[in-house]
Amino acid sequence: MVFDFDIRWDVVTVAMTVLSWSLLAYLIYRTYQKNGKLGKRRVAVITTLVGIFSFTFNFPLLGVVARIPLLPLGVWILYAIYKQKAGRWETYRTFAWLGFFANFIFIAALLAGVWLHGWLYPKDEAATYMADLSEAAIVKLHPSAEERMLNSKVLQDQHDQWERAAILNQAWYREASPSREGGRSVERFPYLLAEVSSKWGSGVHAVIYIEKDGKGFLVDSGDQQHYFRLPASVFLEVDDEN
Amino acid sequence: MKIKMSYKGKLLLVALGLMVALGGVYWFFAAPPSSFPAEAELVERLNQSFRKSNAAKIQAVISLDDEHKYVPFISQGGNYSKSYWVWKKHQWQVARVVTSGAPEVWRIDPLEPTRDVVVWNLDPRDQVDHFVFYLFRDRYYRTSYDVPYYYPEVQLKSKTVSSGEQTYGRMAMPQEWTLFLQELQAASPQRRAGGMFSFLHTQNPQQTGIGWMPYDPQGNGTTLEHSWKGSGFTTGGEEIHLVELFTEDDLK
Repeated sequence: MVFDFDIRWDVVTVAMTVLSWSLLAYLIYRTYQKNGKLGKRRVAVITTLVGIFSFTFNFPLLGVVARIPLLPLGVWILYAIYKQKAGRWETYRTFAWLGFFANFIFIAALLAGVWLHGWLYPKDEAATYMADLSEAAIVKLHPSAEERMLNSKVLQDQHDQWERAAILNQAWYREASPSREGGRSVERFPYLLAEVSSKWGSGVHAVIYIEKDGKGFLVDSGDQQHYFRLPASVFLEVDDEN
Repeated sequence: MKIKMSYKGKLLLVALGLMVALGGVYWFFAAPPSSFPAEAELVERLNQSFRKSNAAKIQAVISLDDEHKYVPFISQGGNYSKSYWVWKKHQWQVARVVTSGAPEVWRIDPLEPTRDVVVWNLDPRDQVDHFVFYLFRDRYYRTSYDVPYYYPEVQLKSKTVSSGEQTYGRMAMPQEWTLFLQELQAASPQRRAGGMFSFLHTQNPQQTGIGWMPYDPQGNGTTLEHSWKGSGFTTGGEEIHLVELFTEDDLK
């Protein structure tokens, strides 16, 4: 099913869930009409819902896990129950299989959702993670950093000038660590950019670290990281620059 | 007619039974706490849970929230000790008791690391004059399937805490820390029920840890003799971890 409480909810997931269930409801209605309105409506609905139940196996697709149905357990259970009364199975059989088929509707909705989400909220674009910068503020995370204030205007004015750059993780790590003679370590990304909203409905949230030159932004969304740079530093000018 | 009534009657009985069952479940798991036991009973319960605690004198009952209490006490052997109490399954349970007083962090809400509390009960013989706590995360990098990751080093200081009149004390997460902790939590894909992400930063380098630096009256960093020595036990379920002792080298 599309329902997965482990995943953070977003606009696309909500829309796909509503769509797939609406489609199923419509199909139940149409099947009922076509069948000459045989049998009870309520039983038809419940039959369909039970028919959804299957033995599935998880298959990773496009970065998400699809639950592919292998065995129609629900249909089998219904068969066992309905066969006990003459004619019952024949009346509701279509609904049972409709329920099983619904699993594929959900998979299609899942994949369509992944595509749509990627289209609306591109994971490799800075704007996805930093859509609303009006409340942004800086928090110093490392003692080696200077006290800095955010120049909100400079940040917002450059909102379309983000450039992607490579994460040189090993190099950054080595540069920062103190030499053997001792001395303090100097962190390359010693600031946190807080109070930033990602694009509405994306269900995405990232921790954003600012580079000590005020131009680099390391965006960590949990499972991914991206590094963006701006032409001008977003720090407020300080007169006593050394 | 007779059959109809009896059916209704049966239905009512089932409904009633269900309500009673639900009520029972609520009472057991969710009902708000009754009053905390008095001193004498606390001493008895502590000694029952852990015989070596030899609790002699309860120093205080500190409420961390409605269902979590920190009770520092002194053992008969003169150990400044800590006990942690939690309201679970309709009773106050001893979540942990230990006969040493070095600071520990208690995650009272696995879903809200910003509500972590640091508690301590420092032995006066260690002569700790004041101390500072640090939220830290070690610098770390990794490469997974050719995708690079870098985790900046973090070290945030708390305000200096003076050893006051009391040997015991507690500290909630400072605001600067919570700003960062909240961001981490919002982005983490492990943000799900059950608090599954590990608190132990040594096993999970991307996680934050808490350290502290105690100072003697002359302002020198001090290592403690007495506040470490002791034994204790923790019942399953509560996340309580030692606060790391920093030395000058650890300060970035």
